[in-house]
Amino acid sequence: MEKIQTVEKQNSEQLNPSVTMSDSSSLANEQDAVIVADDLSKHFGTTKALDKVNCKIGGASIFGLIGSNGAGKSTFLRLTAGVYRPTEGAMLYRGQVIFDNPNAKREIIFVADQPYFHFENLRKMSALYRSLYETWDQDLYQELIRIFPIREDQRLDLLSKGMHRQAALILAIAAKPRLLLMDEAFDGLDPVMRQNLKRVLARQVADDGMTTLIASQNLRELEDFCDHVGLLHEGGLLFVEELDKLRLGLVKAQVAFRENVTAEQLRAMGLEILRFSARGSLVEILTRNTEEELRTILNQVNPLLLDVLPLTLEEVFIYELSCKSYIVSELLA
Amino acid sequence: MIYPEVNTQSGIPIYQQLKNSYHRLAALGIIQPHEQLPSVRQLATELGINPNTVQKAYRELEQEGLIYAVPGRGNFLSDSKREFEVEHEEIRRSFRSAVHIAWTAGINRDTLHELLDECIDEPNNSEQDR
Repeated sequence: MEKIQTVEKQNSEQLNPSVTMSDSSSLANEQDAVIVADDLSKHFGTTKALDKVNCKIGGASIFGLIGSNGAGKSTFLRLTAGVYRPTEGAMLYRGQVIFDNPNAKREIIFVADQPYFHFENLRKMSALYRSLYETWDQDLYQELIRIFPIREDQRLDLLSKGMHRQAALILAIAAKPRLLLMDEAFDGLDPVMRQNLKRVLARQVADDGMTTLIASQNLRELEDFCDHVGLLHEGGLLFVEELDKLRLGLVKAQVAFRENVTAEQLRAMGLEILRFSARGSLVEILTRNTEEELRTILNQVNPLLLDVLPLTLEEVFIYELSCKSYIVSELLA
Repeated sequence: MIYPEVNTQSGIPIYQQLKNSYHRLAALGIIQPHEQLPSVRQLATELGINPNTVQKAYRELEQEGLIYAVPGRGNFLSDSKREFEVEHEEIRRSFRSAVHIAWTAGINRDTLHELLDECIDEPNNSEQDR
């Protein structure tokens, strides 16, 4: 923690103009889409890994791609990295096709689930990256090998899974890509390293407007860090939404009524109830109303207790999906 | 420079927590009118949170009049005592009505005192009502 602070000061002196720039202008810009998937399909034989996916990812966004095993997350990332050619449709980076396009690929770096290294240590790997990426930042690299402590001469193939991943992240971030793709980014990192990674990524987004796409099976890994999330299921993109908007649409409350009040009565008063579950005299209500509407309506029946509770992203997903009648337990297991 | 607190496990959206935290820091006088707030970059890097989230919180605080932006220089706390007074009046009103509900439900004075202490000691639980 201390390290990033001290080094950050040096950096902010060097990178002075960028410090205040981000305060006056909005970072994420949805109109200015960095990635566009246009009716994108990728089939392997008869398996439809991705099927007619449409989405836009805005610049400087931290985008979370959620899905279980086999949902198509890695396929989506590999198409974005230009590793795969789409079977149908197109994957575009700033309006250009990515596959077979060195101009686009220079600005995109993919950190795979199981990173592969061509050379045995970071010293040689960093030399390779330095020669490949014009944007390589040696000072940033030196900072990163202190934050995610790995010696430059350490044998990479002997590192633990978490350290292996840290080495891949050091290289990817120091190359200063415009678009960083990460498959299960936080997997295998201990809590301190996770926090360090978030801090480093946050700074790159603020300084450079880097766009970040993180795929994960674990919703909780992403819910405190992403601004947008997309949910993939069996090769289809079920929805893409701004995280805070997802939560804004739903309110959960715990209520105790003086007399027996039924869900039907409350519906008649204007509550859009999605779930109504009573445990003894305590009722938990999930609605599509705003918090203000909920309070106004419920206060008309003079409840003994009315607590509005925060929703987890997992709950939000469950209700969004149950509206689309998917089998949710399977999806979020 | 004073940094607001966020709890990434609470389930309350982080931009909301940032906003609440700044309102409180301002109301308590910990941040003074015309004092500069951390930049988006500083705050996001310090707390390890999404810069877009910080940006959103600052934008909404500016719309609410709690802070003002000076292009090229950053964000500063407004001189907005009047708004706090309005806010305090609203707080008193909702507190009275909560006490009234508890009182009519048969909760006695001692239990109410305990409840108040509990709310202050565990701000994360009571913040859920905001």
